[in-house]
Amino acid sequence: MKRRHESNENNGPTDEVEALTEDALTEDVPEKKTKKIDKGQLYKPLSSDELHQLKDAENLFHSNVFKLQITELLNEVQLKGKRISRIHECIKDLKSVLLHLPRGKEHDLGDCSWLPDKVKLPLIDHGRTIKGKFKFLPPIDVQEIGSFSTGTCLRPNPSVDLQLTIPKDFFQPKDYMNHRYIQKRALYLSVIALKLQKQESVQNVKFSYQNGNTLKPILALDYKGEGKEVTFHLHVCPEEGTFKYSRFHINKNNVRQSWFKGQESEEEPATPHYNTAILQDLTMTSNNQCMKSALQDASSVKEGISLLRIWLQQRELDVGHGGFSGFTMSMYVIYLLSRRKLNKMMSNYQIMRNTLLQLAKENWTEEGPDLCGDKSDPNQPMTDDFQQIFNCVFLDLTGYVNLCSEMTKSTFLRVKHEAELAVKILEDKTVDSFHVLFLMPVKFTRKFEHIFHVTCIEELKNTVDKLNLQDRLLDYGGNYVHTVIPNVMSLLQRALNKRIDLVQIKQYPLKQWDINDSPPSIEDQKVTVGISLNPEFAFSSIDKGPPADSPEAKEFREFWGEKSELRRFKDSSITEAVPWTTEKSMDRRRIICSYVVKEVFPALPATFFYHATVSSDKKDLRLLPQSDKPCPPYTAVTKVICLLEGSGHWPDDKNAFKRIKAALHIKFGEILCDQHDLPVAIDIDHVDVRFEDYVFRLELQYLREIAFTEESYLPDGMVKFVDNDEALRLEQDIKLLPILTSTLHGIQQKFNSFSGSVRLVKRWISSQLLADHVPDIAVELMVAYLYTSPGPYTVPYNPLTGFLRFLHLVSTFDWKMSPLVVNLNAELKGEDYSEITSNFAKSRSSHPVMFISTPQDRFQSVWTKKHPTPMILQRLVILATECLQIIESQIGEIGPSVPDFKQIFRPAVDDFDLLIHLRGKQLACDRMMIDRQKKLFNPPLGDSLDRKYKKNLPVYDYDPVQKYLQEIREKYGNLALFFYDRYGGQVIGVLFNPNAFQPKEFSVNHMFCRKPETSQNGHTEVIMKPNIAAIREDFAIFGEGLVASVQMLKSNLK
Amino acid sequence: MEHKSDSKNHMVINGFTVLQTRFTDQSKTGHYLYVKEHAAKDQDARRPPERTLFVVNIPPYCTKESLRHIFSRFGKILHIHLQDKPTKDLLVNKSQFFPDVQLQKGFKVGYIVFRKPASVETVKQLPFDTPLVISTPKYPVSTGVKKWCDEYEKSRVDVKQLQVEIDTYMQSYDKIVEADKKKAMEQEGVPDEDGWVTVTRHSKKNKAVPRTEAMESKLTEIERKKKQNMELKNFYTFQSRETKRNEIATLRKKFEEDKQRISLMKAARKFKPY
Repeated sequence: MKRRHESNENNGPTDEVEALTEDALTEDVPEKKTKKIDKGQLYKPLSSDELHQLKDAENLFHSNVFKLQITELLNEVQLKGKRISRIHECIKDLKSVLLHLPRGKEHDLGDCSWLPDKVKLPLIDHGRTIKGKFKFLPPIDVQEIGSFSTGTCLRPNPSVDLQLTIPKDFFQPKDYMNHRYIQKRALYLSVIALKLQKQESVQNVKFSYQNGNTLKPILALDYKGEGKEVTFHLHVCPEEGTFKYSRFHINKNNVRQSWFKGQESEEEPATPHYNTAILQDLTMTSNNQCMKSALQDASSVKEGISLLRIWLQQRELDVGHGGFSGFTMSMYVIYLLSRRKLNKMMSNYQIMRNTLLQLAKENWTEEGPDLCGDKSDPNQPMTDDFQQIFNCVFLDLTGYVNLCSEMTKSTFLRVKHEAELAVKILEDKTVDSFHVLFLMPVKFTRKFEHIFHVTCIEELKNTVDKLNLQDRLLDYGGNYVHTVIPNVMSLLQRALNKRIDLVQIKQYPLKQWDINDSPPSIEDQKVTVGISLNPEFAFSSIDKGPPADSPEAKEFREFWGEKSELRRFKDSSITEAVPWTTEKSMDRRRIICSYVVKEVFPALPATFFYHATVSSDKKDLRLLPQSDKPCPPYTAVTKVICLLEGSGHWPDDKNAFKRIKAALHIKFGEILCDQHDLPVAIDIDHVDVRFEDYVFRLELQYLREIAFTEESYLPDGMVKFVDNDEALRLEQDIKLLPILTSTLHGIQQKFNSFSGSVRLVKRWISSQLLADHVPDIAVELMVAYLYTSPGPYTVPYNPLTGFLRFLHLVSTFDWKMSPLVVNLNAELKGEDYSEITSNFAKSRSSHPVMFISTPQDRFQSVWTKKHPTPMILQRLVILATECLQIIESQIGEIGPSVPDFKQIFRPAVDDFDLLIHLRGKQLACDRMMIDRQKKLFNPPLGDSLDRKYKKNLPVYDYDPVQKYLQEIREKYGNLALFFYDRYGGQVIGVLFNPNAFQPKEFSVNHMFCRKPETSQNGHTEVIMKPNIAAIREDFAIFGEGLVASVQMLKSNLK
Repeated sequence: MEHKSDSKNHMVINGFTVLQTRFTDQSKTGHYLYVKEHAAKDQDARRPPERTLFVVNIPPYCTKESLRHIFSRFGKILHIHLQDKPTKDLLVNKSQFFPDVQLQKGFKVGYIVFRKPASVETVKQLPFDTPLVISTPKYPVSTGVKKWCDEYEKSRVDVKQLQVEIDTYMQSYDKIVEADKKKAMEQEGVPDEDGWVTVTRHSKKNKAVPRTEAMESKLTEIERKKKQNMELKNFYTFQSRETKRNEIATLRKKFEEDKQRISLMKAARKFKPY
């Protein structure tokens, strides 16, 4: 009996939870009834399977939810069995076509004129003659390789890599020399492209480059078998044993100076990159074999790799030339398996987590992983040689090939940085780590605080000589961009040194081009560099170098040239130093950056983007207003709350206390005026005082007053505290707001970009006319969220980055289903989070649409109680999405001219019913206007005038537009919504409430603002219609002197 | 619904005479006033039925003064009361500085008390097509920038007057408090008719705890804890067995809940990474 009773109790609350969540979510979630938990099911004896499952969730995964989320995510990205078998059919078809291609005629290798117009050689023309013969032979084998073969390929748009093995006979013995192999390979692909294009089921035949290497084209095509099309990437490689590996030893030369430059030279430099490019083809088969066998029957490892690939893709790291590709990641996991850092018994979560953990510890730029277990081959290059030649090293199975030969140091450091962050995020229980790691895209523009584009690629050509890189140019086959970039990056790294946390070149996705087009020229490549500052050192004015007598000093002087000076510091050390600025300007970095840029690349035009600042002037003061003159500039008042001590002397009654407070204000004002000689204005609930150039509003407050206002007496004489609007407002103003203000101030002290971000965001919201509909505090809290939970990024040190992330947050946050928890001062712990979330889910419908929870206000979201309304939030989300897209494309892409960044600060006014245009003369904030005319009606005041009235209170807190808005909101607030940009907007948008404008029957309640009209169907019936013409006139009447014109936009209201 | 309009062009709907207004002579359009004789079941001395005109839909810029100017040509006006809604009681602020009642500033209803009942009739017979002008050159209604400037000028409180009002209020308040205290002191220890003694804050021997809700719930909590401590936990085997079973059940329940949460997220397409 007792048992049953308890079980009921246990289930009671659950039922309630479901009922409510269902209720709240019916709007947005497609009908999906949550199943009720069966009471009996909960108490049935545990089966060993289930025990296992429940235990697993706790031990092998982050949490149960995380496990389920991973399963869902994998379901989303993995190919289904049916599709796989379809793809296999396609492969089979394509294979039979490829294997039965006819042999071709023999041609001269250097002469491509026999190729029809339909196809162009996918190599950049370098104009050198290439000896040798070309005779097409069909491939001897076609194999699937890469992610599809191992089952780690990701939806949507999976691509299947196919490897075509070219028979030995196709090659001549000396083909490895002087790009002959490269030419032959490209020609071979062209012939295949030509042949395949004739096939009916083959579409979109295009060329691309393997990992962005311009020496190695690949063929991309869509094959339409039965069902959906499949994208194939065709790679070609020579048959096993065509060339000896040792021929391509990294220290050997395979491209002669005499051929490349046309001049003889005694010494032939080694060509490691050229050699590696060919070796990669040669070892393709064996490396893929190794991968396949290692991943066989290890489904959790495969899943782990898929997760890691999603992680990479979200960070845009796996694309482009020298990216950290999915292949590299798979090989790394295999390396860890071979080193017993991972094992096949681990869950997919553990594979993912441990790999990231290891990656965070590695430094491939100094000691890379080595897959090769067999070191017996005497011809194998030394590991040290690899480290010296390449930026990053990851040796493959044969020990001859560096798998990340093209990766720059900066790219690896970024990956490492991301891995470190990921590990931290996984440990932090207060973050939705799943979302942050796998679902949130980390865009380049949002990751890096400063971005610059190199717009004039040709200039990089001169850099080759400047940096003495002719040998490298030969190695890279003339691709000067790829030649100089690693050096440029390391130069930047060295010059900026401690000032930056990260510098990275953007990985642009690979280009594809039609086979009848020429390949994109080197000049078409985009070079974009992102810099992430270290706030501690970024703004220091001097770089301290090595001591003057040390051996490094010479190196330092050579690097910095004239900029380097010998200086003596306070700690009596004499060192080389580089002063970054002599002035106390905030643009120090710009000076030095342009120096680095100028010195390193002569005359290199680079476009820099800096954050815009929105100034808040509080200094301009003026005398009394006169209606025929322009309105004085706006002077804000700063509110100061003075808390009264608790005392038995104050009355316990609400009304009496109000009077006492007023009396205190009078006294307070008199003291300030008489004893301190300050200009004051006394009011009932505040004293305004001018101190120096600011006007302060002093308010005396008493915490007990909140209790007075809440107090009410029950009939039996018991005192009950009832929440009411006045008490809530008072509590917000004198209890919550001061705490919040000081906390936010703390954030600003810690990260000085906070206020800049907030201002930029507020300015944007206001410019979109939403400032009065989204509470300022809510905005500040949302921005604070970016600092307390920076998510997949680190804290933004630049207001612009903060702004971009804000736009992304607002546009993608799931306001309907989750609370935004701003963990101020890191007061909330993991349990608090789950408490807040479950509490929120239980009673979603009774909470505001925008729910912001803070440690002081966990379950209420007091600041967003009334605003924003669902409609406003929706608009905000839409606007944020649009504006983010615009500004990111403006920043992230190189255009012909500097884009118009003000674009996102101009509101769209077409959606309003009515527009009220204002006269510029009466705008108190016209100096803050976005598109300001040169002529200002109220220019900032000069000092002379100001000093004259030093003893007066200026005109303060007077803005005609705000007065006007307040008046029309009071009067027509139930009929319409008003939208205005408080920073110098020239137009007020009016949106009528459609419900308030329905025709109603004649009654006293429906008379306000309506006019009688005889309805058309019956003569005797009178209906009340809204008197819109009169309202329109009222808008002009109330704004006499301010309103220039009232414009009706919607014709249906006329 | 009756809708009469006789030869004199005056419009009556449901007993309300409809009048047009114009803000100034030049205005082309304006709001409509609906006027009627005030009739209420309850007698109110401030609003005598036969002499009071009930006006609905008074535009927001129309003040008591402007109403007085418009309607005084139909007879002498004694009072004008403006309200947000028609109400039984008239709401009036007693204090100049500390308002008890916040009047909204939108469209209003008004009660105009004339000296003679005839004036009400005159107004009711007014023609529809001659609009009433609110802001005349003689009595202009100030709006817009001019009004705000004036308001700004007047926004300074007269400190002396305020001080006087506060002083008088506080004196009377102090008297009331004093009297209450005295009364409580007198009652101290004195039983009433049924023999009950009221314990007050002012008692010297045992001070009464304030009777608040918070205090009440605190006491119940203490009682509940006391009871709980009396019970034995995990004493019998069946009890510990039950605890274990419950643990598993909560684990399962959590698991099921998580599953449901995921399915909701799935429905909201939360798992599309790109």
